[in-house]
Amino acid sequence: MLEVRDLHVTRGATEVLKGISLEVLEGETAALIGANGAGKSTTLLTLSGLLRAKSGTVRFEGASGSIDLTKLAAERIVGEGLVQCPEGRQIFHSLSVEENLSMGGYLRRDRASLGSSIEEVHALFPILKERAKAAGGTLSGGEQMMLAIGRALLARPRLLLLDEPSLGLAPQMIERIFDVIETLKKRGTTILLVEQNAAMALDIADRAYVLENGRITLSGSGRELADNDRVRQAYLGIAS
Amino acid sequence: MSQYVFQQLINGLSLGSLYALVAIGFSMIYGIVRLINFAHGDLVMIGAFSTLGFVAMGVPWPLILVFVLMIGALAGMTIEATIFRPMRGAQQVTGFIATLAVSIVIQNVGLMTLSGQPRNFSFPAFMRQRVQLGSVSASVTDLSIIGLTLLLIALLLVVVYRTRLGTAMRATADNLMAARLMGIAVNRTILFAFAIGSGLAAVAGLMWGGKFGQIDPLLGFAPGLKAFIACVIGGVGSIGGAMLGGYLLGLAEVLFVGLLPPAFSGYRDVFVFTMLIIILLLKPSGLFVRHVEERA
Amino acid sequence: MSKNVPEVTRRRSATGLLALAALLGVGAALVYAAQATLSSYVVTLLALMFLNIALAVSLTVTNGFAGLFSLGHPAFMTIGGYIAAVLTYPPARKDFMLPDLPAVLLTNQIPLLPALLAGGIIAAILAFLVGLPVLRLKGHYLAVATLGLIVIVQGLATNWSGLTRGGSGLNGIPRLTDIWWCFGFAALAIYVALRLKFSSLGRAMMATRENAMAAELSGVSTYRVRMLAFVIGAFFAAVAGGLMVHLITVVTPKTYSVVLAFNLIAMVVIGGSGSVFGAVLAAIALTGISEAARPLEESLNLYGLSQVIVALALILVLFFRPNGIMGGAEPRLLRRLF
Repeated sequence: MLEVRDLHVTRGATEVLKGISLEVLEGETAALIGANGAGKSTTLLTLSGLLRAKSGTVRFEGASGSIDLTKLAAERIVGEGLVQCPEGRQIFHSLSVEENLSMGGYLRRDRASLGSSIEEVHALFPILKERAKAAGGTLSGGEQMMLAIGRALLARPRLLLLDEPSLGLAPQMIERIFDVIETLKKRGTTILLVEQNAAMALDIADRAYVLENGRITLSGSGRELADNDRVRQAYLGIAS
Repeated sequence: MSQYVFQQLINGLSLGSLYALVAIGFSMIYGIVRLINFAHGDLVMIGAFSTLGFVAMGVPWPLILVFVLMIGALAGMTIEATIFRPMRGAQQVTGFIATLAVSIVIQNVGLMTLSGQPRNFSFPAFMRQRVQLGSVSASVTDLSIIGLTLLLIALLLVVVYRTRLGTAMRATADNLMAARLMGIAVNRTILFAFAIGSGLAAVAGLMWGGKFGQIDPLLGFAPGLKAFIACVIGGVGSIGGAMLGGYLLGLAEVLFVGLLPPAFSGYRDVFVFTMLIIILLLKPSGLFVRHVEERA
Repeated sequence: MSKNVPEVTRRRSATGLLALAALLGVGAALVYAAQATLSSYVVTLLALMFLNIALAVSLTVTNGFAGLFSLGHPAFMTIGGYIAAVLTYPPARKDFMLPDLPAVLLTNQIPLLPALLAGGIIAAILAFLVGLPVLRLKGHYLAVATLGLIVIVQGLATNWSGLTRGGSGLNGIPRLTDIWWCFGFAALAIYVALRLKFSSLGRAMMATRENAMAAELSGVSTYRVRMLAFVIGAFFAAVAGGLMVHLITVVTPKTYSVVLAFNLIAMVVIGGSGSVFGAVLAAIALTGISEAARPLEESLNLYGLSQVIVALALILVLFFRPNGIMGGAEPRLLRRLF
């Protein structure tokens, strides 16, 4: 589904990604873990076309076949089916919940089926239906996260990028969000998950990568990495 | 109500309508690209002179209105695409200086091609009559300005709050990055904001000419600054605030001149700007907006 | 901070002073040569160019060093211009032109220098008073507030006829300024600005520009530093305004307008915000361009052309060199002398 080859990205004068390669197969949940500043968000922003790669390729099985995303405008990338739910939720505070969701379906031409998609999202997050007319900014942190995920789902992602969905949420809410990710996974949505909460991410992931200082230093199945001594020490806080 | 007070009220409302129309566009542009567009007032001038040109060509007035709206929109989009877009991401002050430069270019190209001599501008004869409303009367021009402005504002609100593109525009103004991640082509929504805002300013120019009877290439300076003040009064970046600020400013100006002894009437702009500075200090986010967006 | 003083004094040793004197001498020789060989029209233009240099350099202190986006220079120039003009005006003509002046002003006439200083000091005091509220604003709010200051001062000058003779302004002001005054003033402005730039106060100004919060945390009072930059700029602007009215012999409420504010900003930005040398170069270039375009304007009847050229030049610089020609730095020679 997604195949990143030797991606280099610079921001300002510093090279943040120093040639990373990774892949996500159809139907899989992949996790990208790493410390603050390792380049996780940079990776996702580059995939979404908000940052430009200096070199490297991003192959994606999009709506119009296999394409390279590195030269594509951000709105085209969404159109191809690579949709990101960004770090910090980034919902539209002044727009109503309803309008936030409709912006998720902004590029969809199938007005008719959009209605049933909204119902699906409402079924997943009933609170979004209750508060449909409320301004996004009045929602609690957890509700905003649900709105952000719901909004991304309405773009009908072939590949859903989730950037730090647990960030700043209370423990029960984190559980809720991971339950939802689990549900999406069961329904066959392909997911690339970026997390600092490595334990939960590795638990859910079929495939995982460790990003350190702009390089992929380890990769394997979620299980393998969770058992890896280095990962246990550095990211899971377990002494070996 | 005495004729005098009524006349002041109508006068204030029609002046306020013009300020509101200019201020709304100014505010929309600020809201979406965080740019104080100094050249916005010059769209008023472009609108006024285009009107004069169409009148000379014998175009009927309703069509002139549509054409002027379109010319304003085109001019605004051109400025955005050629000058402001390439500078996006630069410091805020850089953008402000650029808009000043664009304003100077427009004014002076106007001087070069149209000459600095003021020109007479008049609405058709029936617009210059007065109508009797019970015991008081008002000019048709003022009443039409008030009515047309309300109509345009209503249309604008429908476009901004009830259409897909309008919602996308508000989304872009709210959070540019998230808008891009949702597949919104933000350059297009920004262009759309410039088109609407500039179109409204140009129509304000048409009415400005009719109200004051004379136009010259530098006439955009005053409405541009007044629009900024109206936005500051109402809270920069909000359409409703800009509208309210415009009406308040128009009424305040007319009342200042109408209520104080004639010797003070020359101090009108001194009054307006002193008011601006006071408001900026006491309530930089505007009189009607609760949360402070930005100040220092 | 006081530790730096001896070192600075040492660097400005005999050779440094000698080099400065030499620079001044070369400038003076050029002025002398210009005055001897060129027509009086061109000499007046050169004098105006020196005043533009002084104005651009003083605006560099306010806008460039301290990062205050002030458009208020024309307001202070108007104040300085009127005050100096009224003070030097011959009493014989005051009876006729300004009969409503207070008696002290009506009967007395003072020489140019104290009149300029009076204008400068009053403008500085006003800048302080206006700055108390206005300098709490930043960015484009400050810009528009200072733009409002121009409109307020123009409105007062137009309406306060007893002091200003209203919209028609004052003419027949004695021509007390010549190219030497202007040259001297430009040299003074450059000297003060450079000394300031390489002093601890100047560094504090630039610190508040780069990061106000960090500057506060390291003990700089942002508000005081900004105020100083604003007041210094106002003083120089007012004196330049006074010098200019005694060169062109008229002053009206519209003599110093928003367009002038724009042109001065253009000089500062093109020169490279914060670079004194850049501001000088840009002032020379822009004055030269506008004056060169003037005959073209007249022959083609295209008034406004020179202004369009200046604005387009500014846009091009913003596109391709957003940090200006000098990018805030000074040539090495100047750095060594100060």
